[in-house]
Amino acid sequence: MDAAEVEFLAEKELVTIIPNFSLDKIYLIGGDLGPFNPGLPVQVPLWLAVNLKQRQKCRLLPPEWMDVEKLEKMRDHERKEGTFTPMPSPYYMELTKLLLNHASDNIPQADEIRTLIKDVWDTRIAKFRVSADSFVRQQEAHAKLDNLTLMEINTSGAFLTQALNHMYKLRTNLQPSDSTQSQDF
Amino acid sequence: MSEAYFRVESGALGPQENFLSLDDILMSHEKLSVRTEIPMPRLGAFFLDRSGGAETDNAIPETFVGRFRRIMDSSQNAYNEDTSALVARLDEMERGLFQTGQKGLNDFQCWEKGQASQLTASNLVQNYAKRKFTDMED
Repeated sequence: MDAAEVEFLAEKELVTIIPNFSLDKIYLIGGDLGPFNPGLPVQVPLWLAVNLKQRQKCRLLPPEWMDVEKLEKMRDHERKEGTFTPMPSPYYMELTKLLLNHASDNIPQADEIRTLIKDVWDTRIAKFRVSADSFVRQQEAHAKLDNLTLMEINTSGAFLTQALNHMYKLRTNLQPSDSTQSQDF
Repeated sequence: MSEAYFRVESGALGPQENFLSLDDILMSHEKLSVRTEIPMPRLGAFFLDRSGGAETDNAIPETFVGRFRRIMDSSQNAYNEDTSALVARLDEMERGLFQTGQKGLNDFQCWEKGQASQLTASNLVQNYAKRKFTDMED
């Protein structure tokens, strides 16, 4: 998957906006949205929120977890724990990037938030590499990693699976079994 | 009289399957395990003497295990840098692995910078623009 495809999936997440227009309920294939009334908060998918914001038709409200104090606690917790801690959203990276790029005026302390989220990401990716390394070293057959997000898996996962494929081939070559037949080519 | 229909040969034994070949279209892509035997006449005793025995069979997987961490870290940390020093001592398979790591990193960085939603001219088109008028006069 491309990172852009992961972002596409993330854009289905609901966020709260405050529209400045009126519109009756709309019926889309994915579900019903609205009605929209000026000044009244309403939840919409991120893709629509960004579009409306770009057209200056709404104000975005940051999600409840997008707050400097909460993120500092989250970052410290992630650094302390050896395993992956649950993230406030399975799409925290994508939400942060889109909201901060398109609606930083609606988000207090946007720069600090960007830095904190990057710190959390870096810590988690570093943990992923440590896990991958110990998995390969101990030549395990199974591993379970809870609380990973799709973007993290997509960025680092291809390397791990390719390395494990190679390990498997190296190891199975050590035991020639009777079931493999040679063929004339 | 020329024939109206030419049978398209299968490309499966060559570098690539032939898109228009019926045999290739209908071919199943199952992987069958295969063992290839290469006869090396009169060299049996040669290799037997030099083998380290069953204990050393694990040397190659172990070597890979030891190098894995470095390949992973260097491939996922070197963004937009000259990587020739890093790949110089890797074998071909490890270089493929390194490239996979780089690709994951580059794709993510590209997305984070916002290039994933920008239109950029392809390299081919940029090269056309560089051709000068004098080239075409010859």
